[in-house]
Amino acid sequence: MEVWEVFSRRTADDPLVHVGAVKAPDIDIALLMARETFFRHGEGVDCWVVRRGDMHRASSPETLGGVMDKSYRRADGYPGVGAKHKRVAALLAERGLAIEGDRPTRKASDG
Amino acid sequence: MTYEEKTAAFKARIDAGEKIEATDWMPDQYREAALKFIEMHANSEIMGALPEREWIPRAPTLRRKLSLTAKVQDEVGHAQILYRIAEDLGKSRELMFDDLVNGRTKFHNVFHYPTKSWGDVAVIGWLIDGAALVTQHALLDSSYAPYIRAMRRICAEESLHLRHGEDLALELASGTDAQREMFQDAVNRWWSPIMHFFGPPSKPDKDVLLYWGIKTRSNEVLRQEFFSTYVPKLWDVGVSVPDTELHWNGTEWDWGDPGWDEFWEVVRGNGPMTKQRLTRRKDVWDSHAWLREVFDGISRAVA
Amino acid sequence: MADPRIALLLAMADDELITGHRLSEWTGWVPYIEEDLALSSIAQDEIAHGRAMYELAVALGAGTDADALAFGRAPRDYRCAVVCERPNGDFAYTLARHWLYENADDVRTAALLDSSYKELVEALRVFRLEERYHLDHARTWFTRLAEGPVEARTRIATALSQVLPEALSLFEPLAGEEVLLADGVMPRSNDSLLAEWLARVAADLEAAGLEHVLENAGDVHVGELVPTSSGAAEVTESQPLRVPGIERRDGVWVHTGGFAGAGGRLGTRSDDFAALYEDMTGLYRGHPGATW
Repeated sequence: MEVWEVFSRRTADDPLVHVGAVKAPDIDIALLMARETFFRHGEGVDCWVVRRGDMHRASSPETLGGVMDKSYRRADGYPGVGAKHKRVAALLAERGLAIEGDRPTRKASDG
Repeated sequence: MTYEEKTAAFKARIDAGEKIEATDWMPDQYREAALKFIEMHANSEIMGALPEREWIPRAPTLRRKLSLTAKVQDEVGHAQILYRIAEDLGKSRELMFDDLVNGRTKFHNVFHYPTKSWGDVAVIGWLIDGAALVTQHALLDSSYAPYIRAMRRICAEESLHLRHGEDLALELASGTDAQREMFQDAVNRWWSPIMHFFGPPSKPDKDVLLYWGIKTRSNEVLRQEFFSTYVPKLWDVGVSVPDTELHWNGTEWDWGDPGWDEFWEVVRGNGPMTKQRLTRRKDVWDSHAWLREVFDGISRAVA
Repeated sequence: MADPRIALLLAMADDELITGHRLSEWTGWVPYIEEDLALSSIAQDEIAHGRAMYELAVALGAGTDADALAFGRAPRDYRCAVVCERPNGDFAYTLARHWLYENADDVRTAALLDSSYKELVEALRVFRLEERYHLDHARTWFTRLAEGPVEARTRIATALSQVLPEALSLFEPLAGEEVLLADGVMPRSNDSLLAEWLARVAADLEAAGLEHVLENAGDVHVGELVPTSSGAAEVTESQPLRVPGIERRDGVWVHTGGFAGAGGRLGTRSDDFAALYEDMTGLYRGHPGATW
């Protein structure tokens, strides 16, 4: 008997998520059990089963992605870039360097 | 069902908006088209790392040294994701890499050019990543589901790169005269490669990728979106665009023909940096077959 | 009179910055994509650690800000060990240096956790969380190559033979080391750290059946700095660095004698530093006062 971890995809668009485990002597029985245990109400469109012994966890998961300040690689490292653009635009307009030109007026042009 | 009937049913599924998984039956034409498109995208990410990475050692502050390393690392990460899904369509990464370094497969034109200054880093990070994001957003509705999932992650990272690129560009635009010149000069040099990036005006009805829904929008639509997003932003910070015919006519952007001879030369593998970069990649690839052996798990017998 | 702790900070910060700089030269070029990602992460960590130590040095009056220290000094004012500034060579050389360096960094930062310099201890505690991963990475590769296919083993052995003698210079004594020891800033001397590092890497080499790496290093280098393909140390007014020899004694590898002359810790740079310096500092120095 072994433990088998069960993963489901709720809709075709979703990632696989862990939903639980079943105990079974082999993969065929594990798949049958997973189907009945986790999908009998139609909770998902995909079912994957993996032997628990085949799953391995990273050591020190709390250090995944590093520990020092990594804001330079996240959005929170660049708060207000849009506002910065406005400030720089205002600065350059003052210096008479902004360039005039017809442009679309719809919101999509703001990027 | 005959092959033709299966193919017709498959096409009907795509037209109805259904998504295809790696394990689904597919017509050969679909598989080959998807593989070729995704392989070229993967090639472009791994070759696209090279222009910018030259400026990591030269970054002018510690924060930019870090952020540029992270950004280029992400491009390599995108290559990893894309080669992996291409493999599932039926071609090994080893063979894809071998084809790339030996000039048998292609990568996007814009990555065949040299970088000359930190201004180029700003242009690549803002305008070229901006152009890429425009095309990549359109791929979020691709018919091929693994590609959609890959694009979600890639687009999220590219959005971050875009903010970073804009931040860099704004520092230059609001900096010393030398910095403003550095950025304007880079824009002037990169403008026609960016126009080439969107490809020549294409015939949507003859586009195989549009037919199968792997791509969902035409070159022209994407180019117009790029103009609308970036040209006003450049003008606002006093940076001009070197196309004297570019103007908004009330409905859309008119633009000058950048000339396509250079485009076709680059497509043929004769870009300014093509041979140099591929040669160096090939040298590293060939001289590190021993490393791949390690990954293949070759080992000696032990007592 | 400059704070003696600055010499310690700059030695380690420069080692980290230059190590990170060299690793980042691989970004985009590594012939195995997943390893490209790993080296790029390690490079970022090292640069960030360097930055944190420059900031500590700024607080002690060493310079105006971290960027000024990283990019604004003259070559002779850098304090990295010469081994860090050597070009990357092939992947085997890079991994050999990575393995030797990460072991050295582990030994020295572990010892410094008992330092009387509290701010440094705090910083090192954080660095070591990331350095744990660096050491695991280096060890994983060392084992895979040493126990792997014949060509991989030969290449890592050759590379280790090249790097090992020069890696001893990571433990060249610092300027003002006696004061740092007396103040408890350095709980242990570089000589003591060298002994620990050497015993450890030698044990790993012996366990992998790579004794010849140690034996070659012991033979060839009767105290002279390794002349690599890129040339020997720049001769300055002072004598070039002579590193200790190494030998096996009662089952343990030990170093014999001490360092003589002036190496990287005292500002002697190799001819490989010139191109690195130009790349790394040219843009910063070319636009004084600009923000980027």
